[in-house]
Amino acid sequence: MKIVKKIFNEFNFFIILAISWSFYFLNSTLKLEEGPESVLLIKPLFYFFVGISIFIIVESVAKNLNTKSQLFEQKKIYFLITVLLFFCGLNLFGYLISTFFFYIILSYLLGFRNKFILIPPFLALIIVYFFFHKLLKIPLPL
Amino acid sequence: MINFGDLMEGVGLLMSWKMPLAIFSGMLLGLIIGVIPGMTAALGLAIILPLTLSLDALTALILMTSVYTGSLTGGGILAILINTPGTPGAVATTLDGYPMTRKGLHNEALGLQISSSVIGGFLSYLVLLFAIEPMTWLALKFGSSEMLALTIFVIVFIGILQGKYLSRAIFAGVFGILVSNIGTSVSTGVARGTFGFAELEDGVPLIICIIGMFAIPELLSLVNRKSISDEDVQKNHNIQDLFKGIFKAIKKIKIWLTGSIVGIFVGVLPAAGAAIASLSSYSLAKKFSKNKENFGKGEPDGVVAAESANNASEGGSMAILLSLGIPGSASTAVILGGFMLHGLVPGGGLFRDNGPLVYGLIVGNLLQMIFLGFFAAFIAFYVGKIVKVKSYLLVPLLIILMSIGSFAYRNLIFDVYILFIFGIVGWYLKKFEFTPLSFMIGLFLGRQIDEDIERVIILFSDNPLKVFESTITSVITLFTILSLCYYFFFKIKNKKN
Repeated sequence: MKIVKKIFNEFNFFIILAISWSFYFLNSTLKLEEGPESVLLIKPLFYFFVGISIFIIVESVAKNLNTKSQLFEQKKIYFLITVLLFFCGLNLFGYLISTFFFYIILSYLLGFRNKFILIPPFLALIIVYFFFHKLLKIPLPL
Repeated sequence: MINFGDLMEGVGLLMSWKMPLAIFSGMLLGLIIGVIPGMTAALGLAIILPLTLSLDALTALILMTSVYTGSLTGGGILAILINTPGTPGAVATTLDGYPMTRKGLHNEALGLQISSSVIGGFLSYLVLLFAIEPMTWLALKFGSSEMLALTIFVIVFIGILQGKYLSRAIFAGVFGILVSNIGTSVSTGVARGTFGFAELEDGVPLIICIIGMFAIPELLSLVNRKSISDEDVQKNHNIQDLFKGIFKAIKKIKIWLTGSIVGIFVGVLPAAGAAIASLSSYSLAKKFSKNKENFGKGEPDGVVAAESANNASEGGSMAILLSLGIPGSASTAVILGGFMLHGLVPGGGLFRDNGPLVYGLIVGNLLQMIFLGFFAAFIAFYVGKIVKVKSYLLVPLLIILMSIGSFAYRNLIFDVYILFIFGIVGWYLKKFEFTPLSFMIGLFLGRQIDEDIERVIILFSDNPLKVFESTITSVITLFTILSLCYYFFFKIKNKKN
């Protein structure tokens, strides 16, 4: 059981994810016309990448090195979900609505629990609209 | 040594109302970031980077370097007041700065720190002003094989110096090179690894990667803290003592001169940065001091040595960035992004094609140092209030600013998603000690390497060993091998012990 835990952890998952992506990167390019000519650097790097990844995994298992990212803590997960929803919301509802609700939700999650909770989001809206949209002329989807 | 025509033209570029405003706002932001523990210069730079799009290149770069300078100095203020280095470069300042505070000499210590920072930074940019032309001459000798050898050396060197694990630094460097090659190949026109997204055909936007990689992990670590600093840093300030410290530091010529020289040389080394510079200078000052036993107990010489080297390292790292396009730290990596954002590519060609701009930047930085003297003294009085900002107010605001910055780069919501993905990648690289700086170096130089490899293959296909006919390539390769030997020798020695 211990050895299974040593192998199947966040650290190795991250490395395997990186290798999988690089495999897709190489393979999808090779399939294209003129693909082999476009991977003169990528191909040897991929093999080197796999080699060094195996070395790192073996090293971490053998030496019992730190394999926890501390990313999956409740507060951080909530934070990431809120941020992701905000980014998706930008596309659907625009900056004004998303910014307002995002600020309220995230500041609440981070511990802002009083009657003034609506003031910072409102100020943020003013900054977004007047400073970025009007003054700097950034074409934000409002 | 100096091209006076370009220099005068560069000074002319600075004669705009925007410049003092850029220096003032950049310095203020940098000082605020510097005094907030856990906030790095790279984070501040990453946030303002896309916002500089509406500025001209020189104003944008002056703004960014002002943030950088301000944060280096701000880090020292906090180190003295609450024994917490606001930036890594301020570690050595805590050693004698905080004991001075405990003795009630915090105003004098702040004066010493501000004065030494200004002197160190000023001297380093003065050296850069004279050295930039010869350095650029050397940089222009770098062809494909030389750049390839240099990139490998930098990734290995960063791994040895910065990371605990060399293998992980190399992994990060290679990963960065692979990611940078997403998009259309320059030679064949083939779109590589785009997952079918047309937005990736021009490659991964480097600026967005930088913001995500450095800013999101910082904010993630702020999530678990109620306020930015839980300690009380409100101390009584006395302007007379502050000035006493300022003048005391000026008189310590030997200490700040040695500190500045150490800072400039260490700053040139990739990844060594301000922390190693200030610690080396501190150790040197202690070794040759008559009051060795007072070091660590509130010795003013210790503060002067540490802070002069801390800010002098900035000029050193800017020298290597301007002449070779190699960022020596996370902060200079973001500044490199600033150059790219304005269509400038640091390296030998930058000085040749944009001499006035480079001189303008150096002279602008010299001016910054004079501004710094006044601002740092001013900020020292208000530092207590700034570090009390609650994270529930700051974090959402910074996320909103970053999303606007990312969107503004290409007017694409897609870039905001890239920001998120690279934020997660940055967190993993940081937490698992994969040296994010190596990843950034790979990301910046990866495209160039791809082109260089092709040229090297064409030029040296008959005999690959011909690569080493170039003296520069041979010397750099030798340094890489020696660095590796040094690393393994000490690793084996440490194991035996």
